[in-house]
Amino acid sequence: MIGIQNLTFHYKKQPALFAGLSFQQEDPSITGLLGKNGAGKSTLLKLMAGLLEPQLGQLIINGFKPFDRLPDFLEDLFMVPEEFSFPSVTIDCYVKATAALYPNFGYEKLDNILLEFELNRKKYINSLSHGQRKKFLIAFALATNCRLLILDEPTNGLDIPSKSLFRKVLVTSVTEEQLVLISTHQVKDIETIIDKIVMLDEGKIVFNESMTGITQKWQFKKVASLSEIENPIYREKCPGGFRIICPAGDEDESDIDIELLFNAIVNHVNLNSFSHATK
Amino acid sequence: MPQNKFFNPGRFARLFRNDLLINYKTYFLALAALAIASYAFVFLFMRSFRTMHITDSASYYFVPMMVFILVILVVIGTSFPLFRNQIKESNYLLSPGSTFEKFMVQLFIRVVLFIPIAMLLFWVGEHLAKASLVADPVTGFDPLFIPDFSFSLFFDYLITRDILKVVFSLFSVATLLFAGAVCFKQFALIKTLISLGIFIGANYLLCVVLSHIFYPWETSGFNTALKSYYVDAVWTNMQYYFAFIGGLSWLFFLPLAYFRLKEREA
Repeated sequence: MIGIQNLTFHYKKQPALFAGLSFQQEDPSITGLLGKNGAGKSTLLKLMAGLLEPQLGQLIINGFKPFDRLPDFLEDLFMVPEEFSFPSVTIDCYVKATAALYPNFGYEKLDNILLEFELNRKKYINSLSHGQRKKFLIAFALATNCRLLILDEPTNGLDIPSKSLFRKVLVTSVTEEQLVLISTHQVKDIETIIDKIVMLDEGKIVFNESMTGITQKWQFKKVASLSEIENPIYREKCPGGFRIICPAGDEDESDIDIELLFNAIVNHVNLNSFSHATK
Repeated sequence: MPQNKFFNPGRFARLFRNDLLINYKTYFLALAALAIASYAFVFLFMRSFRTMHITDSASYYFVPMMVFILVILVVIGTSFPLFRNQIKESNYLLSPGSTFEKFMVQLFIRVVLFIPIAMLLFWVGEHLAKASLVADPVTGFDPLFIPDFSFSLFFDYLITRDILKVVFSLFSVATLLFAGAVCFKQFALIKTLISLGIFIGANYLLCVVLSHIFYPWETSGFNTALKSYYVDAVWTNMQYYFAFIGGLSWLFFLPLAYFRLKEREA
């Protein structure tokens, strides 16, 4: 589905954001694309969507070069940008005008999601609050049934109940043929719904692992004292003790602390070195 | 199927319908404003002649016609309105359709649909304006003396000055503005006109430089020494030059607009 080989990209008069970036993703899944602010997540998503042209390297999405923006490619891709804008029309009018452009659009699916999100089809989109407009955009994106859904910071602007509703709707709406790429720096918002974590740092993919792979390799614990821990890979102080990452042992698998994992990676901790500890 | 990559009638129809459903209010308001403005402008313009007893149609209709053509050019020069906003531009570029279809939808709406509708509104406005004028026995003004408006008046006038040259030149200007709307992000119309001014100025400067080089004894300061001669029995070299520039430059601007649209980033 996504094939990136030695991708190089820079904005005009700027240093290279990506130099020799490579990434492969063949299987459908819900993948979290994480990275610090300015790591290039949104730019990578724009490159994948065909809004930007890479200077060097090969970028193939669903068998197409994105920047060619061929109709067959665009019919199977929907991007929910971080910032969005709607025309001054009602939800009904927007759906009537735009849904027909997507051959696999699910009208019934849209109705169900709008119901879940408590959105009235007769309302003017621009009269809705920012969060409601975002929910409508997410609902529309899911209803397109595109094979590749790109969501850039989808939970920004959503209140707490809406975030949990978003997770529920996403999990129930995504089909087994779809790849959903969610870029966010709010890792807590998506930790229960993603199948895979990809981390971007300094223009490179520094981490690419499935959730199953992570639980098989590492354990995430909260301990009162470090004395009982033999080999923490990474630790962070927290109220009441430490949050640690240590190699997976024979004990039961632990819940993944994505925030801790993220911090470990951006601090350049070698997760495969069982004796490395920082902080 | 290659045709499906570049043009599919069904997809074109869906893109066109999408544009109309989203923008119908804007289009309706723009046409209503044009109708009211045509009527009001022509009415006031005709009224200003009420003490002059003029019966020549060109006096009444030439200026309104020029203003009408300018309005059409402005409408064409403001094509691709979504490009003025980066977020809307991204949505537009990602809407499922080929670059050629998106290009054709704009051309279809702004040229093929808008121009005939605008002409009809202008025609109605001219007739209504004349019908609204009231005779003034004091000045001897009678609207019945004003000839009826017809677009053929304009064409009759043009025939004497080579209709094809003028029509193609207008089309070339329209395509220049259309290309400008794709090439520039902000204030496209103004930037296009400035670019055109710079281009014309640079051309004139080139002529000045060449005149100084080749005819130094006939040239002084910013004067040019352009030589005019008959190339054949009908046209001079200068007529050929302007006919070539005016008549054929759309062949450059339309592909330019298409390829700029294709390579546009957001």
